[in-house]
Amino acid sequence: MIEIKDMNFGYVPQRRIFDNLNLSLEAGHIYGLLGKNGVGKTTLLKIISGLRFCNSGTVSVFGMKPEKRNPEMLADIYFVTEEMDVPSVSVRDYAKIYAPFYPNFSLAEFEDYLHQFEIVDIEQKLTKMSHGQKKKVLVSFALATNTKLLIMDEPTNGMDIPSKSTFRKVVASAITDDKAFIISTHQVRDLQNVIDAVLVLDRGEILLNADINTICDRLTFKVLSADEYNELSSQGKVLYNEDNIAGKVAVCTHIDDADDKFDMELLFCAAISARERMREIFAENENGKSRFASEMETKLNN
Amino acid sequence: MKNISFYRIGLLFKRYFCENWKKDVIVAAIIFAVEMLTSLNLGASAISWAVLFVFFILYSGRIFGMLGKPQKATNYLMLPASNGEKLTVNIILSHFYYPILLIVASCLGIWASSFFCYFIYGEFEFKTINYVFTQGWHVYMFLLLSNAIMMFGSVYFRKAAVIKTLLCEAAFCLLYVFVMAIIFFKICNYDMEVTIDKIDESNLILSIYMLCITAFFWVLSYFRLKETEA
Repeated sequence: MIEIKDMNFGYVPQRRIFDNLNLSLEAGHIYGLLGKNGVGKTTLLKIISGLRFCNSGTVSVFGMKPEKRNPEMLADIYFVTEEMDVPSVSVRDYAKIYAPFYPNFSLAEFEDYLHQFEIVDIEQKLTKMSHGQKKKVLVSFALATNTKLLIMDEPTNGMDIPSKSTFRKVVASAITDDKAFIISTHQVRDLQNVIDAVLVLDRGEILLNADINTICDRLTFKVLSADEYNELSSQGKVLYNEDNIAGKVAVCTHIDDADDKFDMELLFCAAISARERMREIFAENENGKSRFASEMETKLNN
Repeated sequence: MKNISFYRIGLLFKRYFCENWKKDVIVAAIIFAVEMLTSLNLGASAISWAVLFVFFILYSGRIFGMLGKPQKATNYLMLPASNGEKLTVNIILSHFYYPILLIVASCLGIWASSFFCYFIYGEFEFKTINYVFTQGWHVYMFLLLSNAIMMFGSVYFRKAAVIKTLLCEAAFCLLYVFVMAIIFFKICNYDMEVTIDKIDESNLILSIYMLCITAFFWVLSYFRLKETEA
């Protein structure tokens, strides 16, 4: 669906934000795009949607160049921005004006999503709504457009706690095999249960691009006692750890039979602090297996 | 999918009118009321061609104003319509729709005052509209050209597009006058009289010339819009 090859970008030529960035995204996934502030998450989303043009390299979305802003491509992309600017029209009129631009828009789905977000008064003007309400309306509209690519930049910012839960529910119900959602967020705990693939962007490159199953196959997220920590640490298996009340929560290379729970925040911290180890673990060889997985397999065979 | 679709152009118009009809109606109503009331008192149109012209260039100078604000620019550029369709809609709005709206409002105001006079004084005097229909069709060419330049300014400059475009125009005009002066006085051996006569006689050529420059600015605006990033 999206192919980026050797892409370079910088707002000024001397300071590159992306340096030979490569990325491949497929349909059927909800991607969580994680990265530190200013690392270029929004810029990457803008390049994918054709709002920014890369300096060199190739970007392809549905086989088209996004910078051409072809109407056919734009009708299959919806971008929910972090800050919103809405026209002074009612929710009903907003749908009437903008829905015809999107051939797969479903009014029934839009009304259903609004209902789930408890937006009852569709005659209310968007400009009179709170930030959170506007976001709910725009997220509902975005999902109802049924575009193949839905990009959301910090979608849960400004939403109340029940709405975040509703957001997870509606997003999970809306994904299909022919769609891809990219959600850029710092609120990893809000979206941990809905994201099924993680992209970590750091220092101008994609540090990690893996689905949750692959991550859980190769890493273990565990609360360790002091003894366990010392043992695993001496074996070089601990990638990242931090203290909490129960002991040390750590991200380790895969431990068989470990009773662990995936934690996206820890994953991100591990990716940032142990870049080379992460790269090694998730680098794929010509058989599509990571070097780490191949080594494990060889050990088991021996 | 075709690059120019009348369906999508229709949708862009619908979007514009749904979001902006109130503002346009208010401006037209003000023009109508001022024309009507002043015509009753003065017996002639109070709003001159120049005043309407200021309205037109202010409108054209802000037709792509949304590109100066990141969120609005994102929404606009992500609309599923080609750059050609977006430009076409904005050309029609700024070059034809808005001038016609205000001229019609102005004419209606003047004519309305004629009818009021008939009811008040019992005599019908059809007041003249002195600025539009009397000055020849090259005035419209000039209007098109000014709107095209202002529209290009609005797509080119991010902030204070109207002022920057007017400054650029002023600088261009000064340079143009300077160059023409050199041509007339140095090259044409001070033969000013003949040259001016020729210019007066060639209104048609002048109008075609202005139309060509107008088209030039439309094309510039298209490429600028195509290269605009949010």
